[in-house]
Amino acid sequence: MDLILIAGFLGSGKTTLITNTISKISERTGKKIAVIVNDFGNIGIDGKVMEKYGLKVKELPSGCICCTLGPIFLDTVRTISDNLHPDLIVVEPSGIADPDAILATMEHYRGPPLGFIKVVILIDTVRFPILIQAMKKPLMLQLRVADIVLMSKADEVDAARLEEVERYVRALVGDKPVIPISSTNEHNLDVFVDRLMGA
Amino acid sequence: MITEDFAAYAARVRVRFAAPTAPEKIQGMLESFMSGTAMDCLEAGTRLIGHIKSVVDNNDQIIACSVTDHDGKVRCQGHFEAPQTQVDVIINVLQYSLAKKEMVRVVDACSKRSFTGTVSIIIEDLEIGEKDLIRLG
Repeated sequence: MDLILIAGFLGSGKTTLITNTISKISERTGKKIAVIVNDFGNIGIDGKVMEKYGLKVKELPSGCICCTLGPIFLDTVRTISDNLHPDLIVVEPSGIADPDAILATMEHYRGPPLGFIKVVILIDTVRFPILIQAMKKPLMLQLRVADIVLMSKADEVDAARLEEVERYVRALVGDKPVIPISSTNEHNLDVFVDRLMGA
Repeated sequence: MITEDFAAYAARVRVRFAAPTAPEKIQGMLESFMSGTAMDCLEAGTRLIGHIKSVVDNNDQIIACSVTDHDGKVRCQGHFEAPQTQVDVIINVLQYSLAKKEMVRVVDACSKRSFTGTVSIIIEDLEIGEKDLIRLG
């Protein structure tokens, strides 16, 4: 069983990405996929939306799996593994989660052996200037553990903004894949799935 | 957690209309509610809009809306096809440097301003605790 973490700041497009790519991953690889969603608020909105799009979702609302909900997250992964036997678990942490802390939590996982764990980080290209001003350190914390970086909402910005974001990201992640995407018009989602699943 | 001075507020806004209301009118009111909430949070002093998101789930039909930008732009998925007499809007407001009581005030004011032709608007606080501001780190 593999695990993919789809992380990124609040509102960066994680839920929309997942709803628009899970079926592509499933169709391409034949993998059985389960989704864990962690909303910070008491009511899990993201999980409701995903379920409406036909996904099987386990919600962990009211807390953050990178800290307070860490043990519950581990139990959830174990329970899903035991009961559903998925080939792949996709995790959407809350937008304020530290993905590095989630990876540290996974070191305590004692279930069936895991294959790969990959971290995908979304960067909101529309809000990049304000985020880099107000949230520089948190963004760096997220990017430093990325295996793939997605520049989201690429259809809403111009080429100069995309270049600016990519320059910033490249300085932190080196030659790891940095892909401009738009989940709403599906731009580059196939490229993302290919890179993610190693095609 | 990657940040401090973060606050969250979740509420259910139960809107009952005086008469069946056209789907496009409800969509407009919903977008006005979401955009107004964002702009009022900014006016109240939020440092950064984290994410304001909502879902309206009426049987098989769903509208999910989201605001992240400081211009209050609303992005929605889904729509209603038939007129509705009641909608339950679940809203999640995630902000930086804004006390919960301010978010409560903003959601209350914006719901009354945005939803028209109603017989009642009831707001239920869905947060368990009474934390005004969640301080971490």
